[in-house]
This record gives sequence, structure tokens and C-alpha cells, in this order.
Amino acid sequence: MNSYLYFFYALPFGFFLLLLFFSFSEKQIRWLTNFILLPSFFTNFSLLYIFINQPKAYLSQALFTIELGHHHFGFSLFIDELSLILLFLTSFLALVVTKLSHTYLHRDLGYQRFYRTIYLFVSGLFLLSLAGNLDMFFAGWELVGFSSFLLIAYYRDRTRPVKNAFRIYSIYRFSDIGLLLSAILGHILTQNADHFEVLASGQSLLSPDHDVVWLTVMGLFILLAAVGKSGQFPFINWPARAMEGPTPSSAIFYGALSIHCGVVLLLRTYEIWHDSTLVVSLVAMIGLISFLLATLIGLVQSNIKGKMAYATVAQIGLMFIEVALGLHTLVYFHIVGHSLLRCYQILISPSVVVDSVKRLNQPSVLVKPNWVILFLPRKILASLYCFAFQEAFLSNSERGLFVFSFLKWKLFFRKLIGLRSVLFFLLCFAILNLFVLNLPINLFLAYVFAILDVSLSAHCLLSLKHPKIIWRNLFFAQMAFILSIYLIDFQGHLGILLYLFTIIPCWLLGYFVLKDLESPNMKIYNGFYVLKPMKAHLMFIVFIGFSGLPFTTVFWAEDILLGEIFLVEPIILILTTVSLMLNGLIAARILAKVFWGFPTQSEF
Amino acid sequence: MNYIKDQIISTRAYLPNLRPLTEFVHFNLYYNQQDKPFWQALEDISLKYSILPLPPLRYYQDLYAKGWIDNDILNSQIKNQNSASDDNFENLKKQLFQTAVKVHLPEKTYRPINKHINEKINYSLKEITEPVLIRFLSGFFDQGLSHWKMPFNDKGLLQCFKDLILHSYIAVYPIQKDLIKKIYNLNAYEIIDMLLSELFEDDDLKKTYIEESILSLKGWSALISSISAQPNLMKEDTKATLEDYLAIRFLIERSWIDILGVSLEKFNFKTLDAKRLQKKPLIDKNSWLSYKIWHESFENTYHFSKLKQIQEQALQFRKQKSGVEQEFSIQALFCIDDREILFRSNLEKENPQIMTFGTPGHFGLDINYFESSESLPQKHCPPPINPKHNLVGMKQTKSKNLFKLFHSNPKYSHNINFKVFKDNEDSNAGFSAASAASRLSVVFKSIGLKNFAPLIYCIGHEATTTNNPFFNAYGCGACSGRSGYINAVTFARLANDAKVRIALAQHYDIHIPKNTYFIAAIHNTTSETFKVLDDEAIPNELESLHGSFLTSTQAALKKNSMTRADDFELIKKHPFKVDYINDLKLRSESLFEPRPELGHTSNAICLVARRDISVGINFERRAFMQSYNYQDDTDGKILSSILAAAVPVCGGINLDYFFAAINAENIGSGSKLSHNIVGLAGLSHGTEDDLLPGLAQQMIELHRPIRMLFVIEQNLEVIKSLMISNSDFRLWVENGWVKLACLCPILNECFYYDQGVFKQFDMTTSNLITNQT
Repeated sequence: MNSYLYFFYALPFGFFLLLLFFSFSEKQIRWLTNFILLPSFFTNFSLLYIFINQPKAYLSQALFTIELGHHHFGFSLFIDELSLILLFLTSFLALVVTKLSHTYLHRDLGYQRFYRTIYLFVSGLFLLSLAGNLDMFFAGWELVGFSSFLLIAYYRDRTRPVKNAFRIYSIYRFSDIGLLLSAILGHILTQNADHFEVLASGQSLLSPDHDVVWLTVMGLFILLAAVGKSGQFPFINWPARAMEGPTPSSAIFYGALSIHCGVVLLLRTYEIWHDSTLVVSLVAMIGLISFLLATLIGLVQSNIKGKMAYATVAQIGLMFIEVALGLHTLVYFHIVGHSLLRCYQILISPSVVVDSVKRLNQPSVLVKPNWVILFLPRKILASLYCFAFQEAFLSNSERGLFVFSFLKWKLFFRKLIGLRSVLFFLLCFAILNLFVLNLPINLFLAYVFAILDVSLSAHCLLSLKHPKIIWRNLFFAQMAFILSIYLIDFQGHLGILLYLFTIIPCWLLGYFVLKDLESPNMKIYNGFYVLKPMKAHLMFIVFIGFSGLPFTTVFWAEDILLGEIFLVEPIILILTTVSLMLNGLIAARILAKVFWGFPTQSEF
Repeated sequence: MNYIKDQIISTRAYLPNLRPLTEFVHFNLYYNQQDKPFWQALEDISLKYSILPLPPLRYYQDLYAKGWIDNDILNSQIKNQNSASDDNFENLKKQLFQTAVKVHLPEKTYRPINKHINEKINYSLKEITEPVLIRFLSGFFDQGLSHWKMPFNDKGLLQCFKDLILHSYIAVYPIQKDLIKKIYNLNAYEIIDMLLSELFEDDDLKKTYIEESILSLKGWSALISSISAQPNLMKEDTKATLEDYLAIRFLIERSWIDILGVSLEKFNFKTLDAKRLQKKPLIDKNSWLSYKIWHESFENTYHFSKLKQIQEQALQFRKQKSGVEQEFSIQALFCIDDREILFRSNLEKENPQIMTFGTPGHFGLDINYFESSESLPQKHCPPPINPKHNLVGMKQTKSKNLFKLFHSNPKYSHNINFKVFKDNEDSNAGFSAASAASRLSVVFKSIGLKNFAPLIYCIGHEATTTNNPFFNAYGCGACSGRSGYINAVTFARLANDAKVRIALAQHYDIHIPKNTYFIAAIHNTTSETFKVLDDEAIPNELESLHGSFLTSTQAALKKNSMTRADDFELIKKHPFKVDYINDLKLRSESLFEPRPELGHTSNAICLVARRDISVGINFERRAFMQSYNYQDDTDGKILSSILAAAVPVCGGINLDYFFAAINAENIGSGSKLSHNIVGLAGLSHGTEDDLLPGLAQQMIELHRPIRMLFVIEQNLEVIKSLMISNSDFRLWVENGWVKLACLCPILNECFYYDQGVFKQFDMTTSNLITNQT
């Protein structure tokens, strides 16, 4: 088969890189855009042709494999009905939105930034639809989440979008833990790297020497990822908070494509978890709860985009139920129909006033049938309304205090950090032990350092001190991380090498950026990008490095490191994964708090 | 408890003018400040909101470099502001050209008491209170977006809040039911007083805190403030006052404080430094002075250059005029709107037989239009007027289209099927002959129309916008942002009626010849289309004249489209193309077009004079044109009635653009691209933010903030006496919210109102002659 075909799917990513490093005029971008997505559209058709003319129900192709130590990363593609549907949907909607945003974003200051991010998103989705294994799927998944964060915070000079973007990014990172862990499990538990092909051919993913219960565990991790990404219970209210960017980006992300990624993940991995009653019933339950709650909340939403967001969540809830019931063809139809309709609805949402004025003038339509009022007594009605209008008590701001009661941990962290001499002693002792003493307490020390790493990272995430100090603490956290890995008699040196290859330059760069910033206040968003645009740009690159995007070595290092740790000490694995996810968040927080937001200083 | 009332009244003056989206029309954004001098108001707004209501110094320096600010005018401005020596002059000039100053913006609004509380409770009280508050408010003010109405919302804001919480089995976090039970029988003032007295002992602190709380959500408080002043703004008699808002806000804040377990003694407001309560201005007096000098000279440079052209033309016209009045076969009445000036001049060039007039687009008629007998009224007259005449549209037979389930066609359909006359004396629908004649006579007299041509067109205007929440901002300002066709049709029908003509002749000495016929038409300023309405009964002998008029309009529209196409970068230009109407049409119907047209962008002048003295001048679509003949109006009564409508409408449009243009992000409503519609009442960014007042970035980006210059052709003495008798007009002019110039036909001189006196305008230097009154 023709592997050059896939080149066309890489075009958006190439365009992203081009727009990242060079600046273009609106006209040039307009002109170039024609050549980016149209080829992929035609490639979809040729893929369809190939797909129809071959005997199997799917199409798979191993492109190449990279051997790193005894790890091999397979770059393999897997194409079935779902991939084709997604490819067509992505090409079509992206084509429509990019083409029409030329006029919509005309003369906007962030024109290039918008296109850059949209193309990153599109390449993420292409990767996700073509992925042959969970690693590649995770790569696409990360790109989608990252671009989502950037587009919510598109208006960097306003505080609320930046704040919401950061909150949503933390939910993303949290759910990423699930997918990362299940990808690692996929590595360890199987011999074959082409997960989806194995699954599609009806074999078990598990190699015979592992217990079946691992599949349930994997299913749970996958569910965590899907729930976070698709805004299902208990995360049902982030989609409404995400409607901060330009309307086209909201439409394509939270109306059409990004929000369906969770469902796609569930469909892709259905064979992994469909034997586990626990996971299947959980998926259905979560779907049902989300559907009911989102419908109820949607009824009382009085802003158009919030209404759209909850309607979307409700539909995705239905899709979860359908997936759990195994009605996959129905889900395909549902995804296509829903994303097209919702994308269009969000795009035309500003015209709701014109429509409503017309409606208000026709009294026959003015009084809407209110089915709830017909049946319920007043007190129950008021209670239901209160429940719905508080977004079922799940909203961030409402529960903010409970999340922030976690802040009392700060005291604990502070004490921990206060014990510097003890820490230093511990460090020396650990190194001494590792190389000279060889007392049999390495495992214990590893746990100590892993816990230290996580708590230091959490401290960095919550600290209100000068970012320079936070950055320094992050360095200690990284040291604790490396040390804890070494202490568990660890073989994956290559992984550490790859990890440090990106992290060290990024950390140094970050230190250089934050070193002499004038008194940023971590309680508020400072918006320094106005005065220091270059530093903001550098910090952005640091953020890319720490968040472990697929085109950095950190992404591959994560795979190797976590895989190795799993073989030795599965519990440390959880701690390390959490700390890796926190790294990205810390960098995002510093970027957002220091450089984004309403500028506190400005020139007149 | 009077202190609450007083403080609310004094704070309310700083709230922007925000009305429900369905009612959106242009107003001076800070119209409550109009009793202050313009620059004082700007300074006060800057202080209250910690924003700079002017563009950065760089902006003016760039304009200077480009030659948009004249050096001589700048120098004379500096001298004007500063009477002292040359030394001072040099210093000041140096200060104007200094490089940018770094300014610390403490917060969007400086809230010292809130800050003090935040320090004690370790949270931002604003950030935990406002999401709850905004969610409640947007539910309460919803006009039909949500499927489920808020229970008890017909009882007024505060009562609804109390009842909702008391009746609910589920707690509204963070408010405790006990607290609500305790205050259930108290009114808003008592609640505010009770809660504040528990916190503060000092009345001044209470007052400051009330102000902080109102300004902290300026969009919502502004909406509540305009609703409390004008309850019929919202569709279902929504009752709300700022007192209710404050009571609810304080209840929520108090509940948070209780939940956080902070005892009230801990706040100890006595430690609050009196210095901290004082707001510091963003920039000092000296910087304000340089802004003032820059801005005034920028405005004067443009105004004086136009004034010179108008005065030259006027002198020339008066010299030529030798008593022979030209006969015209067609007359056309247009709206004074700055978008119609292009059409008018193109039409006149196309066909010299056409004479055009400008009058506010409601054609003097005050109409409440009902689309059908049960629907809600639409106002078709300037916002300050209360319409007395109801017109009811008959149903048109419509074919139902199943494919339009979730999107209806936004274009206006022109339903001309309504009765303009009363059926009998008692009915309140329609005009009687007497009331019609009185309205028509005002229009005819004000524009100086005495010699009626055989064919007279009344041309209303409208705009097409798709996917745009600001749809009312593009329509006819004199018709409260709606399409002007109702008024045009009504005017033509009234003027064609025999009874009305008799009444006009009897009572007002206006004689319309028998063979004169009025035709209504509508001009779409977005798609450049022109449609004649109600033309079935044209007398046969006028058919050919009508035909020639239609051909000239088509040619004029093509010319319009060519000029307008230059505004839009994205329209593909071709050197041989002479007709861009299709491009403009496409644009007006596009879902992805935030700029269907540029609206009143770059408006700067309002000319109240005969058309003849402005005929050859290219106003670059920046002028409102009111026809007015000073010869018919020796006592200034007609002028007074013209200005009563023209100053608030044109001045309001101008200042709406002005404020949005000087700081779109903080004073206007920011970029259109992320707007979200809240309850059909307002706009916000995202889903739980404050409402946004003013115009969007995309509507003003080509606008240069210039206050409007009213150029009136009338005897200086008449205008002086008018300034004394017409107090509204005097307030606008004296406080500098609009500028005023007078073309005196008797002295053959031009006068410019500057700092309380009329100064003579010198044509040779394009500047004022300083030592004269």
C-alpha cells in the first residue's frame, strides 16, 4: 500500500511548525490554508477506496519501529470505519472553520496564533484517528488537550479565560494520568505493540502470563481518561467554562471534535474492557448520570453558549450508554450527526437575538410549554431549580473552598521545606547509600523520595511565592524524582537520558526567564507579556518542554521510565505519573500567572 | 438609612448606559456624567474604574507624524491651556513628545475595603461571591433563552431571591436558610443597613463599600439601574433595583464569611488606613493636560479643515445666488444618517433634476408598531420620545418552511399591510388627520420644503446583519435602531391623503399641489439595495419620471458600492469592475462576517444647513446632514425643535463610538469574536462574567475618536439666544460633549464655540482668531 499517502496528514503539523517559527501576513496564511486541508480531504477518499477494496474489516500498517534498549515503539497505523469517520469529520469541519475564519478573524491580533493552534489540533486529531496503538493515540490526545488549553486562553489579556483555561488544563492533565497509565500497561502486558490491530482481530491483548484483572484495571484507567476529556460526571461543567475563545474555536472544539475524543477512546478500546462488568456498568452509569444532570442543568442555563455546552455533555452521556451497550454503529451515526449540528449551532449562536426578537413578536411561540411545571409541586420545583442552577454542586467556583481546603496542606509542605537540613542530610545519605554503603534500605528511600517529589510538586503548584523560588523547588522535585528512580535498582538509563535531554535546558531557560522579573504576585494574573513579550515566548517554549508534548523527548522518556518502574515497583509508578503530570501543570501555572492575564503594568 | 439612598444615587452616575440587547441603541455611554464638563467626566471615570479613557500618547504622536494634527493648531492649543511664559510653553511641548510612561494598574477597579477583607479571610471575596450572584442574576433577567423560567421571578429581584431559597429543599450554597428566615420581612434598605452595621461603625466606610460593590459588577449594575429607571425595557415587567442587588450581594458575602468561620471582630476596620481608602489617579494632572492638548488639537485639525471648506462653499453660494430658484422635478427625503450622504450626493450627480433633503429617519412620526395585534410594541421614533400612535400590521400569508427549524432568515421582510388612519375617533390605532398634519408640518418646515415637486420620495434606511448580536446598532438610529420603512410608508400615505393636505393648508399654510405624489422607499445600507414600497397607485403621468429616478438610483448604488468596497480589505478589487453590489450582498448574508458594514464609523460632523452650501464638499461619509433653511426661521423655534432630536441622536451615536474607540477592551465590549449572549439581555465573554456595555472592537477599529461638531447656518444672535432658552442643548455644548460652529449668513463669518465664547474662525489660517468674543 502506498505509505506516501499519509504524508498529507502530516501537512497540518508542518504548517503548525511553520507558523510557530515564522510570521506570516493574513493574506499568506489565507493562501497557504488552501493547500493544507484539501489534500487530506482527497486522501480520505483514496483511503476509503482502499478500505472498501480489501477483504478485512480494518486496515493496518506498521510504518517503522524504534528500538530503545529493550523497548520498541511501533509506529503503526490502524484504519477502520471509526478512523474513516473521524478523518472525514475532521477534514470537513476543519476545512469549513479554517476557511470561514478568514473573514471572522480578519484583523484580529491573534490571527496567526489562532491558525497555528487550530492546525496543531487538527494534526492531533489525525494522529488520534490513525493511531495503531495506545502510545500514538496518547500522542494525538496530548496535542488535542494542549491546543485546547491555548485556545481557551486565546484572549491572554483577560483574566477569566486564562483562569478557566488553567482549570480545564488541570482536568485534562488529571485524566491524562489514566491514558498514560493504560498505555504503559498496554506496553507491559502485551508482546505486540499494535494494540488496536490485535484487538480488532479478536485476540486478547493480554499475554498469557498476566492475570485478567489487569484488563479491568486498564479499563478503569481508560474510563478516567475518557470521562475527563469528554466532560462527563463528575467533570460535567468544564465545557461550559471553556467557551472563552473565539466562537469558531469553541464550535470546533467543544461542539464538534475535541469533546468526542473520550467516546472515540472508549470505542477504540472496547475489546479491552467489555468483558469486565464493573467497567461496562460504570461507563453506562456515568453516561446516564451525566445525561440526566446535564439535561437538568441545561434547562436553566440562560446564556446561549452555556446551553450548548450542557446539551453537548448530555448527548455525549447518551453516547457513553450506547458504547456500553455495544451499539457501535449507532454511536457512529450519533457522533457524526451531533458534531455537525452542534458545530453549526455554536457558530450561529450570536444570531439568537435576531431570532428571539422575531419570536417574541409572535405570541403563539412566546409561551413555551414547560413540561416540568405541569407535574411538580412548587417546593420540589424550587428545589430542582436550585439544584440545577448551582450546576449540581459540581462547579469549580462553588466547590472552590473544598478544593482549597487542601490549601491547609500548605502548612505541611512549608514545614517539610523548612526542614532543609534534614532533607539535605537525607539526600547525601541516599547518594552515599546508593554508591558506597549499599544498605538494604534503598526501596524505603525510594518511597521517601517519590513522596517528597510529589509533595514538592504539589507545593510548587499551590505556592504563592515568587516564581523564582517555585522554579528552584521544582528543581529539587526533579532531583528527588531521578533519585527515587535510581534507588529502585533501575535499568532504564536511556529513559533518564531522554528525560533530562529536554528537562535540563528547559529548566535553565525557565530560570533565566524568571530570574529577574519585577515582583510578580502569584495571587493574581500579572499579564507581563505586554512588557516582556520575548520572555513570555521563551516561557511558552519551556512550558512545551515540561508538558511533554509528543514532539519532545520527554514524551518518549515518560513511556520508558514508567514502563521500567512498573516492572519493579507498581506503587511508585502512580506517584511518578502524578508528579510527571504535575510538572506540566506547574509550568502552565507559572506561564499563566506571570505572563498572561489582565496586565498589571502597562505603557501609556 | 438615607446614606444608602444617597450613595446609590451618586454611584449610579458612574455606571455606563446599558440596555437589553433587544433594545440596543446608541447612547452616550456615560450619559449620567453629562452635567459635568467633558474632561472632568473623563478624569472621574478614569479614577473610578482605574482605566485610562484615552488612547496612549503614542497614538497622538503617530497622528502628528502623519500630519493628522496640525502644528499651528497644536501650538495655539498649548498657548490656550497655558497662559504663562515661553519657558512654560517649551516645557509643555516637550512633555507632549515624551516617550511612554509606565503605569501600574492596581486592579480593574480599586477596592480597598474588599482588599482588607480578603487579607483577613485569605480568599478573594469577589471571586467567590460573584459567580453565585451572576448565575442568579442571569437566571432572573432571562428574557426567554432558558427553557425553565426562574420560579418566583415575577416578584422582584430581592423577593424572588428570598422565596427561591426558602422554598427549596436543596440549599443554595453558600446561603443558610436561617439567615434568609431572619431577614425575610425586612426590605432591601433594612437588610443592607443591618449587614453593613455589623461590619462597620463608620458611615463613610459603609458608603465606600456600597460604591465598591456596585462598581465591581458594573455591567450588571448598569442593567439593573436602567431597568429600575425604565421598567418597561424588559419584556415581562421585570422589577429590580440597585438596592435589591446590593442586599443580595451582601447576603451572599456574609454567608461566605460565616462559612469560612471568620468572626466579624477580626476585620477591625479601624486599622484600615485612611490613606488607603483614597484612590490614586492613574496619571497626574500634568499628563491629563497633555492628553487634553493632544486630543483637542486632533479634533480641531479635522473640524477646522472641514469648516474652512464649508465656509468657502457658503460664501461662494451666497455670492452666486441671485434670487432665481432652481426648479426640481424630483425631491427625495433622506435620513440625516452619515451613511446616506454618499447615496445622496451620488444621486444628485447622476440626475441634476433630483433635489435631496435630510431629516431624522423617523420623519417626525412617533410610532409604536405591532407586528400583529397580540405582539409586543416596537418603537419607531428616537429613544427619548414616547410614541403616541399605534400601528398594527396585518398578517401576511406566509409559506411555512420546514427547513428553517433552527435558523430563520434574518432579513427584514417589508410588511406594508397596515392602516395608518384611525377607523373612528376613539380607536388608539393610527393617526387622525389633525395629528398627521401637525407632524408633517414640522418636517416640511424644518427642512424648508416649500416648492413641492411632482414626485417626492421618502426614503427610509435599514441594514442586514446575520449572526450579529448588535443588530439594532446598524439600523436607523432615529427609529430606535429598527428598519425605517414603517415610517417612510406611513409618511408617504399620510402626505398623499387629501384630508391631511387640507388640514396642512388650513392650519399650517403648507400647500401641497394636487399633482404631487409621495412614494415610500427603503435603502439597505449594508447590501446597497433600494426598494420602492407602496408604488401601486402612482399616477400615470408620473410613471416616466419614476422610471428615470429608478435608473439613477441603480447607477448611484453602483457608485456607492465602489466607494464602500474600498473599506473592506477582503473584497477582491478589480480595476475595471464598476459594481460591487454583489460582494456587499454576500457580505451582508455571511455567517462569518463580524463587519457586515461599518455603521457610523468615523462620524465627526453634523451639518444643519441648506444642502446648497455643502454640495461640492466630500465629507468622506463622516457627516450627518440635516436640511434647514435659516430664512424661514428668524426666531429659532424650528432650529430648537431640530436640535432637540438631532443632538441626542447624533451626539449619542458619536459618543457611543467615541468611548468604545478610545478603549475598546475596558470601556467598550471588547472583541466580538468571543461574545456570549446572556438571557437576551446582554453580552459577556464566556459563561459567567460581567455584562459588557458599549460597542465591539470590530465596529470601531477604523473610527477616530472625534467629538461631533455641529455646524449650523443661522444668525449668531439666534444661536446665542437658543443657548439660553434651550437648556438641554446648552448643557451638551457648554460641557463640551459636542462642539458647535455657526455660519452666520448676515455677517458672512464663521464662529466657533470655544471655552464659553464664540470665537471668530479665520479662513486663511484655518484657525481661531484668539482675542475676540
